[in-house]
Amino acid sequence: MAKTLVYLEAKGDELKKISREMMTVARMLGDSAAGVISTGSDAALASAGKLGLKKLANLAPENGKLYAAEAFAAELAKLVEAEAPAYIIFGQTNLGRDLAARLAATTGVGYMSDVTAIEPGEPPTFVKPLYAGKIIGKFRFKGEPPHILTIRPNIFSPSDATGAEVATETVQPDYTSARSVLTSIAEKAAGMIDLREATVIISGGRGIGEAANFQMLFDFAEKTGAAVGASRAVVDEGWIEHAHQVGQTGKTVNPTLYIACGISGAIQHLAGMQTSKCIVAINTNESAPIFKVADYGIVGDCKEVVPLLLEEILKSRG
Amino acid sequence: MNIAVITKIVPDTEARLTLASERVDLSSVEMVINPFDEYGLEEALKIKDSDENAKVCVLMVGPESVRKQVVSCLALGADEAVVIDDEAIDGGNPLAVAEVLAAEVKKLDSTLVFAGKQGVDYDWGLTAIAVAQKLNWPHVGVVKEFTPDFAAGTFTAVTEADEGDLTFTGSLPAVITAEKGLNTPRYASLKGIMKAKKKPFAVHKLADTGVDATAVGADQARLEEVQAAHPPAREPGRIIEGEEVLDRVCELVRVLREEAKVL
Ligand SMILES: Cc1cc2nc3c(=O)[nH]c(=O)nc-3n(C[C@H](O)[C@H](O)[C@H](O)COP(=O)(O)OP(=O)(O)OC[C@H]3O[C@@H](n4cnc5c(N)ncnc54)[C@H](O)[C@@H]3O)c2cc1C
Repeated sequence: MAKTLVYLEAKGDELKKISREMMTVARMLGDSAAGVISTGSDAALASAGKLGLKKLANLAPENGKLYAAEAFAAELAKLVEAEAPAYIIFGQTNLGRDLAARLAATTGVGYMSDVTAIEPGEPPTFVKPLYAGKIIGKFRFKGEPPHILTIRPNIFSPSDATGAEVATETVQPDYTSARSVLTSIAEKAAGMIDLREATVIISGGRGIGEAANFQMLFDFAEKTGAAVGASRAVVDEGWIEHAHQVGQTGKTVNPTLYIACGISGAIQHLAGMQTSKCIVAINTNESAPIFKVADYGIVGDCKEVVPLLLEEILKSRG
Repeated sequence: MNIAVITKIVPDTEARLTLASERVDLSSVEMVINPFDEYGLEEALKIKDSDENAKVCVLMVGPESVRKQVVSCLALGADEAVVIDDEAIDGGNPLAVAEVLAAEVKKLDSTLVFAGKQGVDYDWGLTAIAVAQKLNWPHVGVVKEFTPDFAAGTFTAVTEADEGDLTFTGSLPAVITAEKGLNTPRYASLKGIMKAKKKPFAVHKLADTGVDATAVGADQARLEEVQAAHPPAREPGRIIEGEEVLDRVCELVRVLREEAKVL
């Protein structure tokens, strides 16, 4: 079977969940995987080393030089040459998608982004939603490997396979010749869970009434470990930042539970959340389109329902 | 200073899509400028607002029938448009489209290229970054704040990631792809609409770009679409009934725990 190369990601000392999801995909597509990561953390590196990889390279960050697409793509192209993988796997994350695209352009190889399913076969078929999820597209790579793919977070189950820790090879990317460099990261306030990684999202739309009522959702999120999403209508009103927007021109999310509060369910909103495992809608209008995609609905005022829901969830958790 | 804005047309996001022979049938669908490209165009126009010597050129690979949508970009304030319409170009292959666009950008002697972060049709997110690679320029993708310093020939750009806000610094020329929130696109004025009709609008063939047809033909594609289908409909859901709001909430929590097992 084929070899794969995975571009792992860490956040601080922890591997991101997407890294283990990529390992699952790597095992679907090949029987041996080499890994690349870029981290300054020994702990993250050690975790990556135990994923069952054949080898691991670390594109070492320097002080104030954390990522550079040009330099990283050039190093990856060399690794690809040396390893001859059939597939190069990235996460559809901010930097994953960036590097995957630059590498595809650098090498001219096949590229498919945001994969949500893989159908086995010779060759395998790769699936992704198109046109805001109105269409499901199926694709096959043509021609000689390697092929690049990015996988959508929270879709593939994370691999818990482990292996003997492999030694890491440190690679020094050529930051001096890169003309666009990631120089700083303003880390999110503690306790702010990223929408794309959240297992529970509580999302507010115009039906929550006014900006101040978002506090109710932040309260819910803080006490239950959820993240707060929003419709575009309220982002455009300035009730909440764009970073919270879910939908075609916002984030695509895949939580286990998505609670839509006062959101009508416009097609552009559904585009970002319709693959959630379980959708709950709270809306005063029983014919709101959101009820068509919701697994469970409550017809009612979200200002009344949300605080009660929080109370009952906390009670049920004891 | 010249600024290029690369754009494409996509189905109106409200449009219903039908299938013909397992492919999306766009023949009777209303097409619009890709929403993310509007933020790219606005960013270029903002620079033009503060520098009267700046010229903004809109570039698109597509059929000449896109004239209406491209003219809408001119109405907003872009100075000229070039549409590259040639059947020899495999419009479905981002690398082929990028090859053609890069050749046009070169002719313009641009300092900046703006584009949307992705097309809302196939969401590849590849074309603009490939234009950067083919020009041997740097790029920053999914940008929500952009600050150029033309005197110094540098820029900073901020993008939002799950780690937090990422700040990039770099040198011009560069390709920047826009995230929603980068700016608030303007509306066309009546004057703008009138003027747009008289602005230069060129339709180029592949030969005009200097790109060789063998580099951008259908046989270059490394990915093939084998099927397009409608997604399976979600199972119809259930409205939770109950006398009081509290009854409904309690029942909801129960089903979320016991049936859906998501709490
Ligand atoms: C190109 C394009 C891209 C877009 N991208 C996105 C996107 O990424 N994400 C997105 O969300 N939208 C997007 N939109 C906008 C989308 O079309 C809708 O306008 C938007 O989603 C509506 O937001 P809303 O549901 O909050 O508001 P509304 O449609 O106004 O709905 C409010 C809902 O709240 C209900 N309600 C009112 N009061 C209460 C109450 N007290 N309790 C409970 N319910 C109540 C109402 O019954 C109604 O259903 C896009 C549009 C375009 C054209």
